[in-house]
Amino acid sequence: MTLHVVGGVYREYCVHPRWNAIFGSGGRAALAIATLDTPVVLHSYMNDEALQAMNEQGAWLQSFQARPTPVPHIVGFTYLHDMSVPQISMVPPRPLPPIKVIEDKIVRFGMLEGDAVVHAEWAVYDPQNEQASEPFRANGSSADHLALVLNNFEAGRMAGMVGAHPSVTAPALALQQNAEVVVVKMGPEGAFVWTAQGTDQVSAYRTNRVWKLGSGDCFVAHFANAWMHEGKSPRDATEIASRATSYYCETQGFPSVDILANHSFLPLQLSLDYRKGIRRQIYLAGPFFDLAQVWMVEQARNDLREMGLQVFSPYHDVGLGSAGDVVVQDLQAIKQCDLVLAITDGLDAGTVYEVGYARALNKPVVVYSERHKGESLKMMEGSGCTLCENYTTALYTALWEAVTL
Amino acid sequence: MSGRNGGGGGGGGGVPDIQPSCDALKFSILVSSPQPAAVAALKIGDVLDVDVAQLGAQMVVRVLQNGTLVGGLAGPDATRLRNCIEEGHDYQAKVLSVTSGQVRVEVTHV
Repeated sequence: MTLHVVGGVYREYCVHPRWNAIFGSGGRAALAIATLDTPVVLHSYMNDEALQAMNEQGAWLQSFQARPTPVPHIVGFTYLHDMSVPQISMVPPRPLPPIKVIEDKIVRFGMLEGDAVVHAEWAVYDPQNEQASEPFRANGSSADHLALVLNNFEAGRMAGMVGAHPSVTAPALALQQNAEVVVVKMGPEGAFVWTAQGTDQVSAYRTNRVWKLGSGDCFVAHFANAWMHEGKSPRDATEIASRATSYYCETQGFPSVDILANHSFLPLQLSLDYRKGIRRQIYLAGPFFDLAQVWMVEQARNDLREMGLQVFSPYHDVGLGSAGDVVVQDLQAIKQCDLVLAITDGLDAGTVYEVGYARALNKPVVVYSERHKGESLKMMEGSGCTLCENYTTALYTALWEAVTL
Repeated sequence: MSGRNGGGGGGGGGVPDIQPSCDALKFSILVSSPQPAAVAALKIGDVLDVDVAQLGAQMVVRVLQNGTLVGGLAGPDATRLRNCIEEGHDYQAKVLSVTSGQVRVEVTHV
């Protein structure tokens, strides 16, 4: 039975790491599903360029079809890096007329340029809008069997309970939207699965590299395929989605059936302390002598805090000053923190000293360095630091260290 | 897309305004629909052939190693590449990484 995906096809550009693609939630999910050899039809607003991009990729997959609703322009997302808030361009001033789809099995994503009114026997819905998520049935859509897939923040907003645990928000959302499954993505804690029969927690998986753009689309695609096409239970479908997403984050590619069956996945084992609610503090080491360095420290601090970590940043928490003013406070903070993230491009002497000091205290250290390799980082590598060449990977590696301590 | 802060307008800062000439076209890209048997034989640094071929109703860009299909290239950079190949330019793809069945290549003019 064919899966029908309705969602955005958007231009995506990331400055660093460079990424120049046309996917969007709908496009990415449809291609991810087609890579599993499941027949899939993509319904979306597309101009000629977008349709061309979809068909160029779909041509390699026997099971892909695109049904465009023609538009003159597609929406564009531009990211500075893959954890940044995007600039969004070419959103029509008024919403486009909705796309209507009546099929047995539908994956529906929220869209920026319009909406999708769907009628299905089975449906999976990802509203794709943290600020103003619209309930599935609010635009007249219907489904006999509905699963909602949301992140934790979206679930809280949509349920009117920001900050509440999914064990509270998920049943409220199920009642509000007449859904039989609610899956809430929880970052390092994996995903919470609610059904009327009970709840489950599915693990997140560690990877050696993290590419974040589109990971949520991949999750929805694999959940939908497993639940609606393969008939897996909501828990098992979520497990498959979590694994497939980790593969996508590691490689930027869509896993095939063979890869999903044979790839080695490493579950993230949360520590007992983390499960008890103890939150670790991270020391953010890095130079801040010019705008570029201050920008980097500011960015890393904001992103780490957004990931739920407590951050001690010498720039923010001690400030500028002479050796007598700041050094004792900085070193005291390293002693009190649980781990260190060190920004080492430029090999600033103070940062290198902080790394050594932390390792002498047996604190885990994640080193983020894009430009230096080999000899320059030998002492760090040899003393047990975890070396990362990529910003997002470094932050996630630090997060995973923190939740497993 | 993450959907984070979805909605709103804004410019497209960061996207280059000027496309490089066909002679200067150079980019790295993930190979789409990688063929497992061909990928298994790849090593970092291998230089692959790049051509344009008909696949069903679609013209696609392919990467090949000694005539064996490795996969396709798609997206805005690949569309530009296809246009340049159709104008008579030649390109090669150097393997930058092979990770769990996925291949990243750097495309350069020859």
